[in-house]
Amino acid sequence: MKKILIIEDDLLISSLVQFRLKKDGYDTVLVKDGNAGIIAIDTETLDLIITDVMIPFKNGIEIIHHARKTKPEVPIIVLSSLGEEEKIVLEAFNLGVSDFIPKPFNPNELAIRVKRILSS
Amino acid sequence: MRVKNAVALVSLLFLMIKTGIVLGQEEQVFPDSISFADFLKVQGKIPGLQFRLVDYSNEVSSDSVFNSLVKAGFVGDFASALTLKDSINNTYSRDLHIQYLIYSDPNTFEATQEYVSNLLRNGDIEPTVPGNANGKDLISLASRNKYSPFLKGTYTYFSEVKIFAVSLVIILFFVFAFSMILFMLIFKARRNQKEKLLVLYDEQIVAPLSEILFEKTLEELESLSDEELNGYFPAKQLKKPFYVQVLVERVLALNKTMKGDFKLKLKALYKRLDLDKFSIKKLKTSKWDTIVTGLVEINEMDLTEAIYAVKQHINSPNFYVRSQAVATILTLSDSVDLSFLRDQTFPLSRWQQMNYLRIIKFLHTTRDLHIETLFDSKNQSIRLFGYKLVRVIGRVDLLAILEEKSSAVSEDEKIEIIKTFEYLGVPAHTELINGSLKSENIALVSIAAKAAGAIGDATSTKIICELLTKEPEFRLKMVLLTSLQDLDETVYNQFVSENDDKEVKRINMHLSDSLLQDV
Repeated sequence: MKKILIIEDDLLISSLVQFRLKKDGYDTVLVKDGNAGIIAIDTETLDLIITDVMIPFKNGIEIIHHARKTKPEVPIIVLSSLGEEEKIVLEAFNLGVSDFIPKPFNPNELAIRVKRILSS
Repeated sequence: MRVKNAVALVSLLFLMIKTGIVLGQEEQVFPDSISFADFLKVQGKIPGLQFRLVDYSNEVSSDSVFNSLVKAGFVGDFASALTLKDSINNTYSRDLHIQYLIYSDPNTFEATQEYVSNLLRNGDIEPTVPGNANGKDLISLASRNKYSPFLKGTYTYFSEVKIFAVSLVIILFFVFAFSMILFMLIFKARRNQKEKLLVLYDEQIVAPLSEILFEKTLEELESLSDEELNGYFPAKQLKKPFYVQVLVERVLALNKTMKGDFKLKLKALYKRLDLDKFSIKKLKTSKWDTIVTGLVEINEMDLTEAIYAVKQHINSPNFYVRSQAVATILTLSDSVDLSFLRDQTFPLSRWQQMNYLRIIKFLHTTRDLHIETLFDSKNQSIRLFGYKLVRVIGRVDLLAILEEKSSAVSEDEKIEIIKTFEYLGVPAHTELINGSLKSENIALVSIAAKAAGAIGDATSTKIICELLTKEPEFRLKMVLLTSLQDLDETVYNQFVSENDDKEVKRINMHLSDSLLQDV
């Protein structure tokens, strides 16, 4: 079973995403802040990371930096309401993220993208 | 206990103030020898004190009569001793003086004075008060009473106004401080309880919400029976206002974050759970922030059935309420005649105009907006907003109405209308521009001159030339010359060559410079 790390401080969104991904048969790890996210990256065996940009303690860009250093093979999807900010999108892609989904988003669309990334 | 201590402290302070009286007893009873002598004269016999007459050598005289008088022994009172002394000295031409004996021992005058003073202080003798007693005698009289504290730590001190006032202030301070602490503790406890409930309700809401959104189609959701719905959200919980509030907030938050059919499902769920009634009910409260929250909820969840209730707040004296009410009506109404905005009596702020414009810009392609309604408003700020709307959303079809109105409007409105004509670049409407160029209002002339450069005619050129000959101030001169150059370059060149004004030459150099002309 593929394991996905979800780093999102909004309980409602993270729970909905978790619910949707579990429905597709994925194992999920849910964390609410950047520090917990980095610990999860270091300790868990992951197949995919889904992260928000604006999260407590460490932001999404720092998470991506860390993930790229420690687990460069794990694909990352950025889920953020800062989608309109070109600078952040470009920085995320420059760091090698696989996808960027701006909020508001459709959880079904997210599930499709997850499936595509993990199958490739 | 603390109160008691505080009262004791205040009592102590009071006693310290009163120390003047206490220290007064330490003062000398007899300030000088004369007052002591006067005292002895009137006092009579004093226990332990006796007097006798001696000469300077302290020797008894050899005169038999004299000796018999002096040997008469000790005299008990000072007045008798004095009389005896005067009598003997006068009769026998002697120079005797009085010797003071305390318990038969000769003593000095000072020692005797101290002895008598101690007797008075200790209350062992009572001074004889003569008819003409002065203040010092009264003090002496008072001092014979045994000292006892004025305040005995009982409630009698409340009879003193100052003490009572100070005590009252201290008591009130402690009452206030304790009330504050109590209030803070209650407030904190309630907040903690609310936070705990929030976490609990969040957990209770997230799971059923996810299940409904992912497991049910929109049709299935709409056809859910009350029993089925209560399986997800218990009826008992839905009766709790805080649970409902958390549910409303979560649905609204998801509505902002979700896209596609999830939004429709959330709106359908909102109505199925009667959360719309909860939102509409908020409009009937007296708290402005609750009303605004209700308006936001109605706006976000597209509750068109609440339009009538929302309209009641359009002319609210509260800025935020009426701004949100107008924004909600603009968003929810299918056909917006904007008469609700026309009838607003409060002036529109820049923030409100920007907010409404953002909504109208988004809606005007799909809605039938009657912007011309705003031109008939009695509120000038609404009319100005209407002219701006024509310009921003490009309603060229309304320019004819604007020109018709322009003859009977204020100069501020003329400025806005001219800006609209210039922005939309319609050269037909020059009457207003040419008329405004002749105005006394510099701002209006400047705007009209600027517009004339783009959409003016030959008459505009003529008026501009006339204005330039009247030596206008520099900024207006620059606008006029720029417009003249745009309108008719030949006339402009001719004007510049025939004019010796240094400013005109400088402006011409600026306008002729390819690098500077747009600066």
